[in-house]
Amino acid sequence: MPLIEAGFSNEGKADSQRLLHYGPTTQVIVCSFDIPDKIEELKSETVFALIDTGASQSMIDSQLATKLGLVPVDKAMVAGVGGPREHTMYLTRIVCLALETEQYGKFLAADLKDGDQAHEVLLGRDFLSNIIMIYDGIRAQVTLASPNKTK
Amino acid sequence: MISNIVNVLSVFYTMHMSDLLKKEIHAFEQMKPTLLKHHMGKFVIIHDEKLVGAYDTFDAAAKEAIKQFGKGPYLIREVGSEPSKNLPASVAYRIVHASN
Repeated sequence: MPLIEAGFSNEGKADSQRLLHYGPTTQVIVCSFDIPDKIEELKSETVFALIDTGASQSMIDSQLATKLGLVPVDKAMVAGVGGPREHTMYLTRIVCLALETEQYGKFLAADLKDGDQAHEVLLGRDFLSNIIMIYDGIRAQVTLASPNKTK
Repeated sequence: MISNIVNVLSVFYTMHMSDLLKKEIHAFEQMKPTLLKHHMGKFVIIHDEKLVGAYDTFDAAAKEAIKQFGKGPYLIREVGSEPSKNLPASVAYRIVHASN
């Protein structure tokens, strides 16, 4: 089954400080929901994603949504520490090649880059519903596996 | 210089799309009693403040909306389902600046 490390290493050794600072991180491709007939016309971006067990749903960065020309299809109120705020939802596809998984549908956009976040995607518990994740804080290792895929 | 102009235009475009989407949402709210009566649990497309169709799955609705209206905007929403959403704790509570 596809298996990846979502922690950090420095010269072959696990980097606990960076794991503490950034959280479990992997790379994903963000693109439009519909795949054009000519694949070279597909606008996509490879970005860092935070595996965020605190998020019920995956989210993308607002600037990234604009840059890729994603289609806005809904708005939703989201509760945060500053009170409820309206966010736009975009038709999106998030692909994790290493895990051979993808999510598609409508995703909330949040101002991650404007808020100086290092990540442009938050992979929430909807992403994790098909994934095994082992967070070994002692060894500073995070392992993700998608058992429904064979490799 | 050119990138600045592109950035400003994209901001205006996003605001324009957002305003149009608000109109579709307003239309959805107006139609809600009828939608709840006839299309409960279906995924509906609202475009130009009119009901385009009701579909069994989000996928089917999205594919049809893209086929008919391309970049939109249009509203796709499940009738009778308005889940609450919470901003992830990692974003909400992250320390941006702290003094020693």
